[in-house]
Amino acid sequence: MKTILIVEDLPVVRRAFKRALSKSGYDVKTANDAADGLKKLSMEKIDLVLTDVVMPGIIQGDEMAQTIRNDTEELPIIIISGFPRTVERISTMQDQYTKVLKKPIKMEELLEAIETLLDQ
Amino acid sequence: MRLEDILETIHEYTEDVIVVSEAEPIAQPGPRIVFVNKAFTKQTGYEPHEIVGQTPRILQGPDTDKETLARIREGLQNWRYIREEVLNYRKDGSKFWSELSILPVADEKGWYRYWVSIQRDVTAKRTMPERLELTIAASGDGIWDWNIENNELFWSDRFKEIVGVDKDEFVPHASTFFDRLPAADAKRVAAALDAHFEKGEPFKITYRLQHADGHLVDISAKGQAAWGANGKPVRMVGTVSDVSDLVKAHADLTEAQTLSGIAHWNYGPNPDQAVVSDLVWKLLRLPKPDKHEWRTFLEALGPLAAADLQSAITQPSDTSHVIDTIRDVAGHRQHIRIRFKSRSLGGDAFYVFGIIEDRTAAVLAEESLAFSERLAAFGQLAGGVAHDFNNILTAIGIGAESLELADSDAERDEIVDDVLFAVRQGQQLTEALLNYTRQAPLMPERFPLEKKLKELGRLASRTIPVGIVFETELANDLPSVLLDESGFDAAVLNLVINAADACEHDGVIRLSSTADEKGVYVIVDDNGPGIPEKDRSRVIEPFYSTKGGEGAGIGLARVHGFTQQSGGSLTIEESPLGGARMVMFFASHRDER
Repeated sequence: MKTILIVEDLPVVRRAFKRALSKSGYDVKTANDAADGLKKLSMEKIDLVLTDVVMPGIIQGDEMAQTIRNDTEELPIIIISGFPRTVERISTMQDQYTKVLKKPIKMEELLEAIETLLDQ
Repeated sequence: MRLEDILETIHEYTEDVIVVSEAEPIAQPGPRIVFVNKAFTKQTGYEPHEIVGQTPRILQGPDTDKETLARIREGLQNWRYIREEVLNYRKDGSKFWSELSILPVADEKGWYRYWVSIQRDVTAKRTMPERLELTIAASGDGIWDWNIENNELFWSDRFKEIVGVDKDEFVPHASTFFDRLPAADAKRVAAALDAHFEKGEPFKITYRLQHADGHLVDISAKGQAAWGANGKPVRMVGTVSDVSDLVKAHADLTEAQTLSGIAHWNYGPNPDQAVVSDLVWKLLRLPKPDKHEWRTFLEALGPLAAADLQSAITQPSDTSHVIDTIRDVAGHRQHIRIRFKSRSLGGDAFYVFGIIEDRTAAVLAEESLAFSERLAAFGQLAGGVAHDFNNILTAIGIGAESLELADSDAERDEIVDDVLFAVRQGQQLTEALLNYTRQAPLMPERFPLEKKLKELGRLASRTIPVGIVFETELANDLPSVLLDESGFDAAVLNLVINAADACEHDGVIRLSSTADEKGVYVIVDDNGPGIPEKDRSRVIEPFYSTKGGEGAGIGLARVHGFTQQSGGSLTIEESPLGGARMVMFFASHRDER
C-alpha cells in the first residue's frame, strides 16, 4: 500500500482529501503546515506528497516542495492551490515528478494525477 | 542824521567784527589796534581797553596756520586787499574760525595809515562739511554731483570704488554714468529724472551700473536738483549705495518661494499695514490689486478661512496656525494652506508673518495614491476571496464524491456534516463580502449570547487543526446586546481561525467572554507569535495579512468592520497566553438590559 502525505492547513479540506484518498486505497498521513510536513517526511516512508501552497508558518508549500526536490529527484509531489495567481506562478515547477493542480478539484482528476505519478 | 552817526550805528550793531589798526610796523611786535567795535568783544571776549594798543597777533595761537599768516603778512607788505580764513583764539583760549577782509586806508596825502579789518566767525561753515564728510563716510554711500548745463560730473571716491573705477581714470562727464547704465534701466532712470525735474517728485530709484569687471552692481540712488532762474534744472547732487547683497537676498527669497511654491505675506504692526508678496497673487491666480491688498487677499481665501485668519491674528501667541481651504479657480479646485504666527509687539500692536502654499498637486497625489491603494486592495480581495471559495468548493466537491464510498451511515453523516460546514463557510464569506461593501445591512436582533458562544465554541473546536488545544471560558449572565447573528458567528469563527493560523503546534487558543457595565467582551487568546504593536492598526485594514505576500482573505478587517457597524470595537492586545489577544466589544443598550 502506497503512503501519501497531505500537507494542508484548512481542516475541512484536509479531512475531505484524507477521506477520499483513504477510500481509494492509500495509506494517508497529514500535516498542518510545511514545517510539519518536512518533519513527517523525515520520520515515515512516504511515496507521494500532496501539498497546499499558502499556509501559516515560515515556509510555504512550494518552498517545501523545492526543499524535497533538492534532496530527492524522484519523490512525486502534487502542489495544489486555491490562489489562481499562485498556480500560475508555480506552474514552472512542473516536471516528470512534480504536478501543479488548482482548487477546486474533482476526485477523479486528483486520483488520476496520483496514479500517473506513482506508476513511473 | 550825520554820516558819522550812521557809521557809529553800524559799529554798534553790526554782527561783523571791525578792527582798525595802525598801518605799521608790520614786523614785530606788529601793528597796534586803535579801534574795535562791540561785536569784537562779543566774539573774542576782550574788552576794548584790553585790546586797544595791542597787536591783532594776540588772537593767534599754536594751531593757527603759518602759511595763512605768511600770506597775510605778504599782502600787508604790498598794501593789498587781503581775504583769508584763519583759526583764532578767544581770551578764554577757545578756538574759532575767522574770515578776514583787510584793506589799507590811505590819508588825504595818499599815505596808507590804517588797516581796516572786517572779521566774521565762520566756525559753523568750516565744521559742517567735515561733519557731512564723516557722516557720509560712515554710511558707506557714494556722492555724485552733476552739472546739468555742461554735463560735468563729480563722483566721490566711494562712488568710484562701488563701480570699480580707478581714481585716475575717472572721466568727469555725465557719459561716465550713462554709459554704465544698462539699456533696461535707462528708461526708468530717465523717467524718474523727468518726474523730479518737471514735478519735483522725490528722486529715489534702484538701478544697475556696470562695474569695471563687467558685472552689474545694484545701486540705490537718491538725489536733489537745483533749478535756475528760468525754471530749468541746473545741477543735481545725490548719494548712491551698493545694495547688491540686499537685491541678491531678495532675489534668492523670491527664487526659493517660486521653486517651493510657497509665498509670504505679513500684517501689522498696525491694522492698516499689510504686505502681500507678488508671488501670493501669482499663486492665487489673481492680478495684484492697486489697493486694498489685505481685503482682496481675505476675499480670495473665502469667508470661512478669512474669518479664521482674522480671529487668529489678533490673538498673538507662540504657536503657529494652519488654515486649509479650497478655492475655485476657473472651475478647478485649488487646495490652499496658510501657516502663520502672530507675535505681540507690546500694547495692542502685533505682527503676523505668514506663508501661503498651493497644495493642489500634493492633494491630488495623495488622492491618486489612495485610489491605487484601493485598487491594490481590491486585487488582494479578489485573490483572497477566490482562495477561500476554491477551498470551500474543494471540500464540498470531494466530500460529495466521497459519499458513495462511505461504508456506514455514521461515516456518511460525518461527510454530510463536513460538507454542510463548508457550505456554511461559503455563506459566511458572501455575507461578509456584502457587509464589507455595505450592500447588505446588518439585521441586529437579540439572541441568547451564552448559548450562541457555546455553539460557536463547539463549531470552532472542529475547525481548528489537530494538535491545537482549544479552550473556552464563557460567562453565564451576559447582558443582552443587539447584534446581527450571522455577522457575530462569522466574527467569532474568524478570530478563532485566525488564531489557529497564527499558532505553531502545541498551540493553545482560548475563547472567553465577560461583561461590565458598558457591555460585552468576547475575547480570543492564542499563544502564537503575537502581533507587534506597530502592525496592530494595519492588520485590521482590509486584506492585510501577516501570512506572507498573497493574502488570506479579509479576516480581521471583516471582524473590525462588523464590530464597528455593531457599535463596538475590535482591539488587539498582548495575550496572557503569550500570543495575540483579540477583544471584541459590544456596547449594551441601557434600556434593553
